[in-house]
Amino acid sequence: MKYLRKLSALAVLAVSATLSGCGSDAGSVSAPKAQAAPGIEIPSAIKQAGVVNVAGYMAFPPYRYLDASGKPTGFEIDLAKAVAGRMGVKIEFHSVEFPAIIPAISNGRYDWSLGTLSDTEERRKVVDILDWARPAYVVQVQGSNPHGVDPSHLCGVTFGHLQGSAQAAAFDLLAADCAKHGEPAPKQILFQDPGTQMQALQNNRFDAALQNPPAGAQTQRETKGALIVLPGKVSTIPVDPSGWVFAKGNVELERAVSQAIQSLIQDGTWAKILKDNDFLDYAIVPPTLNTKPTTF
Amino acid sequence: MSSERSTDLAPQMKPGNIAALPETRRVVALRHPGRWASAVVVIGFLLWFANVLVTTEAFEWDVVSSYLFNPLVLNGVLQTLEMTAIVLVIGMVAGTIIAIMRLSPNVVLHSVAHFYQWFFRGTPPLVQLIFWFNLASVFPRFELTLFDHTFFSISTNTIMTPFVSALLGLGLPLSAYYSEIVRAGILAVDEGQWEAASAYALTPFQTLRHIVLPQAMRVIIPPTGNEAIGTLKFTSLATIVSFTELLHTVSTIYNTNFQTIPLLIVAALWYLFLTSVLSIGQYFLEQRFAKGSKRAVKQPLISKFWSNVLGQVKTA
Repeated sequence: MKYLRKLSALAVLAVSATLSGCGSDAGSVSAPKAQAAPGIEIPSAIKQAGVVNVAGYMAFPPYRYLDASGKPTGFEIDLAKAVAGRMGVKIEFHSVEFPAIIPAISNGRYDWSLGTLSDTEERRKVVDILDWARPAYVVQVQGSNPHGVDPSHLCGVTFGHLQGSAQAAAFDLLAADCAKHGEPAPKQILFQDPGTQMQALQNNRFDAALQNPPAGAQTQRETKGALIVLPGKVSTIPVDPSGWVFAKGNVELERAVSQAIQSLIQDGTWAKILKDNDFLDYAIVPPTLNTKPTTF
Repeated sequence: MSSERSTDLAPQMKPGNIAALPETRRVVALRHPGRWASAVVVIGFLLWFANVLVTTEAFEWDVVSSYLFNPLVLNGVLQTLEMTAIVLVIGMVAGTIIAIMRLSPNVVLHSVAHFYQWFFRGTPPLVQLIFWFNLASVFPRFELTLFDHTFFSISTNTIMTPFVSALLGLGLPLSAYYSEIVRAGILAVDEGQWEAASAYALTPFQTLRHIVLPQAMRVIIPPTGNEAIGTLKFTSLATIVSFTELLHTVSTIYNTNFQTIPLLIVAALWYLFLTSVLSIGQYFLEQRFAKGSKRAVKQPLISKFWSNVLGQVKTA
């Protein structure tokens, strides 16, 4: 029993170590660790703590996910590490379920949240969003495209999306567009996580899913072609800018992060990470705050 | 010949000839053709089912076995066990106190206990979990200030870690449910026991501790087993507050590699294993509190197997 307790304590330590340990290393980016790069003003509380606590739904490859050893991985993780490197602070990642993110940012549990959360008017009422991405929508279907889904004619198709996702919001726009043109209405089923969503697509439970391009490509690789991305982007649905979430009015931290990104853009680090992950076409450079250019 | 044999085999064997039976009758075991037939059907069905389990490729048993002892999964199992154990302790201790309060003649205690039960049984655990996790939205800090002197001030988020939020979100509703189980157990003990105890000049507390609760335990334990198993599985709700229990770990993996079904099987196998361990514990506990009772506790198959193994080890 004692042994078991020790073992579990060790395991807990191991996990918290892996989750936090990655903060000490800013990836491939070389940056001063003890102090911020010139021109970046760090909020005093964070400067004192020497660490930023960053939340994110860690099950969204290739943006952010846990690797085989439980360590946060992905190109968005790399971007965040680079930012913390420029700010001269450690970064600790926290795996948080999607619905818990916004309240946990509002009440200050975490400093900011990763996740390409769509910058919508409703969300802007409760949080600030630093938009750095605007991925187009592609269409994911079963390998053989048994329902003959065509990305340019999506009315009447049955979709499966994640609850609260940008895709679920995009579906509403699509439905409105179909109604306006007197086309058959599309249908939608909602899921809790990408795993069950993609399993249901393989089971033929729905016809297609709107996806953002890197996630679609990753799904195609992981399922070995059982699920594919159809060529061609969806042009009929406007895409909201999306990005990192900060507590409403947390200007000090927003400024620090924006300045760090600015510095990464200037020396090409930012573009390199995006380009290596085929995301440059979908990036907003420099990022905007609540859809407006920043004034920092 | 034929007529000879028929007399040999005795005419009394023919049906309808009972009156002619001699004193020494052959004893024939009662036959159960129905039992045999049903057993054959059921065993046949089980074999077919086992065959389906093994041969269906979509189960991907190789993936299942490669993740069964994955360090992340094992950590999830440990976290689940740890959470279950602490939640059970909280639930049982608080539940017993609430039950005793509810039976108290003191109006204040009785009403407060009733209110507690009403509130924590009436709100969904999921809502409570999210509420505790986000307590900082309501009370940003815990402070103790007396005469302009602040003794301590600590951020609510520092206290309400995912672990603590999960403990409260799961433990408090459990205690509300559990209090009713304990109350049922106490009420099941004959009132005469109280009277007899007070005739021996035992205080109410002594009566409860030494007379009533030990007898109530017999009624309390079977539903406690239910609650323990329920709690084990309910810990998966804590994934909403980022507590890395078994299901959370497994879903993190399948959301990355999309091996959804094999990984859910991994989780199911672990839950089954842990449930079996808990049922064995329940059996031994029941046996302990069944002392002096005429109704024997029937040993479940799995613990029978287990105690046989232990017995073998001991004798060896």
